Amino acid sequence: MNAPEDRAWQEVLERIDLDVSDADLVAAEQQLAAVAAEQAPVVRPEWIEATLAKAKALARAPQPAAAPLRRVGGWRTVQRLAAAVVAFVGLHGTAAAATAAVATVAVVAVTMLWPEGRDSRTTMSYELALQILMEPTAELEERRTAIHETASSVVLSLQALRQVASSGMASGALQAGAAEGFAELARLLSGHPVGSWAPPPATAVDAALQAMVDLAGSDSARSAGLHQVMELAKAGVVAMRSLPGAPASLVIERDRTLAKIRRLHGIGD
Amino acid sequence: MDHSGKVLGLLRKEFTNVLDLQEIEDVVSQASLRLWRAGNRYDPARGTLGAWLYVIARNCARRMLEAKRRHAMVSFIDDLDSQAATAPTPAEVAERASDVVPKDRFLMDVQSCIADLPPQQRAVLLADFAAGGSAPTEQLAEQLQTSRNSIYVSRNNGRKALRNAMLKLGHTFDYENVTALEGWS
Repeated sequence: MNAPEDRAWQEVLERIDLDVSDADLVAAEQQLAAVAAEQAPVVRPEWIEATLAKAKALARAPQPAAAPLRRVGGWRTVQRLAAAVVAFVGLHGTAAAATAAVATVAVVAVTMLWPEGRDSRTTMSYELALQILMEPTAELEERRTAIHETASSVVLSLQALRQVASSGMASGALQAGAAEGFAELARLLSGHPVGSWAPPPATAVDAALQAMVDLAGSDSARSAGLHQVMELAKAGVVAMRSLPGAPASLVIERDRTLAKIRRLHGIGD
Repeated sequence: MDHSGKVLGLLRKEFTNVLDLQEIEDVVSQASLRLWRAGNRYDPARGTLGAWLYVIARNCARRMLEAKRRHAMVSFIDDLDSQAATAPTPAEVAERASDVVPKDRFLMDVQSCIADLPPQQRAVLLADFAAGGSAPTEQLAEQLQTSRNSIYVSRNNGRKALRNAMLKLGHTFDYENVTALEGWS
């Protein structure tokens, strides 16, 4: 969705769908007050079952000799998808069980399809990616993959922080915290001193992001999620900027990646 | 706080016989997506989350319904050229435009611009319009008895033509300011 015509198309649809007048809202309030809620699940059990069956079938299939970056890309997509789905289900306000079911399906599918571990060469956790970034003796290819994986999570975190900071569905304190967090990451990405690196808390990035954007979550739970997102993202940026013992080619790639993150989020050098 | 249940109930009542349950559920999903992406426009002082979701979902349903109606007129590619004659002329559009409030003007212009597109581009954009984004390419290719590549080309050219036509009608776009994650990979 990069071409001007595609963005224009998206904007056309958004303008039409988001055309909300005060009169519309008043009428809607009255109609909602008069109607009894239906309990139709937004996430149907058969969808969950089908997704799980597909995941099992794929897991049984012979593993292709996949390039590590490609597989990591798939993992990232699933991470995003899981976070997005859980966020939307949260927005729907349906039973917490539906959220849990979707999250479970995503986790099961990911676990089955993308086994963790450095030796598997198929994927790496965020924690492992940071560890590899900070290892001067790690293989070049592993560090390149680690940069990509870390950067993706940082981008996702920035996007979520920006969303929460401008969201009317977050409390004032949460909005302010998210805006402050975004600004802090922006400073780190812009070359401000990063200090010494310390391992982040052992929390999965997607879990922290889900907690932060969960519209059904309490303010304190979302704030805790925000705090974890910040700790993880800061550790990622610091690790990328530190990159001890990196050869020149890797430094160039790292710098390009950081520049790309800044460009995506309108952060100055 | 089951917003979606109430919204589904209202939409089913309002759009019964014209949209099926699956389409109504799609509409609620599309509305949730819109609201999520445009969270900064949500103002709780103006209405509850449920009211916002309902109004947006109703807009989505009307858009889908409008696309379905127009698509029904041009359901077969062979009929598209003859049906193009039923599209409003620029004079008719201008005449109608003078009677409508600004809220409907944008939608009307979009519809008239889509109606002016070549047949296949129009069919693809109508399907995309109903889907609230991009309709499945494979399915479209099958329906229009053409290749997936041809659908991609029609989609790109159609969106480009629509954008240019809307600009000529004086509409502007803010998309340059939109930050998107899609560019990242």
